Amino acid sequence: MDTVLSVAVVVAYMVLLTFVAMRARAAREFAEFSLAGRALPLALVFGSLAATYVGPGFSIGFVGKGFKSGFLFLVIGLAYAVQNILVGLLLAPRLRALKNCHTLGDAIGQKYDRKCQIVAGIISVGLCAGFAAVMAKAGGDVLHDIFALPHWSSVIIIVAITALYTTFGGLRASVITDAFQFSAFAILLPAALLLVLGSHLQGGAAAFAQQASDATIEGFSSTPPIEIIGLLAAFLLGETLIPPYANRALASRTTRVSRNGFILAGLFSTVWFMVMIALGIAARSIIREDPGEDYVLLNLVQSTMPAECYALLLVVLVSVVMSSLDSLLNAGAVAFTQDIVKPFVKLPNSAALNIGRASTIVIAIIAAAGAVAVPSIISGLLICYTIWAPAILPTLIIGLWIKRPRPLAGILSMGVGTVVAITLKFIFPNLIEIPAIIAALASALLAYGLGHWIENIKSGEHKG
Amino acid sequence: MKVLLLVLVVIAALFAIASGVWVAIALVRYKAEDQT
Repeated sequence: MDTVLSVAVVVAYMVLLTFVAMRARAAREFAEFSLAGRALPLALVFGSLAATYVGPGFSIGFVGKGFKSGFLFLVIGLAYAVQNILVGLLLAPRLRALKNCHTLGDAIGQKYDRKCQIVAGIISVGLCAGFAAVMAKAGGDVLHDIFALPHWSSVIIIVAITALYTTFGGLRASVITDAFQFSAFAILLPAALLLVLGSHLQGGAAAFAQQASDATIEGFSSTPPIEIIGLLAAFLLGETLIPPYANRALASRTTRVSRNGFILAGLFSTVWFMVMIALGIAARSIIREDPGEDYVLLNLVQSTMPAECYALLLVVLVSVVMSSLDSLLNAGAVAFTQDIVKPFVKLPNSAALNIGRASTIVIAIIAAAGAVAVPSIISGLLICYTIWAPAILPTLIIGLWIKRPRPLAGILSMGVGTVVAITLKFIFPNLIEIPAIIAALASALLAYGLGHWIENIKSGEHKG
Repeated sequence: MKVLLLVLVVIAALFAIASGVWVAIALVRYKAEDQT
């Protein structure tokens, strides 16, 4: 009976979501598909940003971390909040102020040159496909648990439904469904926490504080400082302005909306991490045996709430996955069209829209196929973080801030950052003690400095 | 001190719920504007 109810609730939710997405009307031109007409209000920019970053890692994963290591991950999560606030204060308004800019690659192209735009586009598409593969795996895991279908068919179902509305509606459909999904999980999961604290917490506030203290001490004593530094770096830099976030900065109604959207999203992340970790801490006095980090939330809800609530939780989990996946599919498709195809071919609006739609489907297929190769949700995300930060951030941030950025510096930084990150992550993972993201970032910065210096000398010779 | 931690957690949960409601209301308004 419980299984029938769970399946019915999840199917009903997916039908409702598809209805909401279809009502968002199909994009009629590429600017609508890529930037939703640059008219998004603050609440939707904020909701969509938060829905995109709250994936399985920041929900299921953080509840598991709270169970194991208490508030340790709240401290680490603060780096993520700081990152969003800094992006809001320093980068998002500058990005939004650029004219005719659809993607990060476009911004890099405007500041450097067309070659840099193409390289940034290739990195963006690759990273979006990688992140999307991680989300497809997570979605497959959830549906596999509900329907007991083979994992591959669960992945195909979740990717196909997400790709369907993203292909037709573009960014507008993605943002509208994100806002809908954000409302679902931002209300239901904190409500679940209040219910657990109100009805199932044995020993009251004192017991909760004791569990929090024990878990946090365990967390700090079992995590080496170098690992904490690596995690802080990954949370601070790994997701900074990844393509779906950049698209939301660019699609905001004004520069002010763009800035405030990121600042609010940063503040909300701290609140959200606190709620997720508190769920994990509360679970310590309710679940006696360690169920494994990824199963704490499911076990907690199963053992404290009626079957209807468990079914609603499954809806929430489907929401957190789909809201991240749709943003990544759209961002990858827009980057492919704008940064890889358009620099070579002059495209009429309708052709650009069709290429955007076709590439959404292709990236969805790549993500579904790649989901098989993803080792685990957290390790998959950390691989993407390690490559993204060194590959793009030095070129992007310096380019937005200095007067005459040099194209050679951009190309060298993106190339060296990508190669060093991939080498240290996949080929020689034990080569150095320090985290790969920090080493690759340092290499990218050095390469940037070298390229800038060489071009400065060249331009000095020309003048001389 | 022990109660303070629980109070902070409850405030965080209420803030998150309020954010969800705010975005839901904004979504309804945006859709209404979009269709006119």
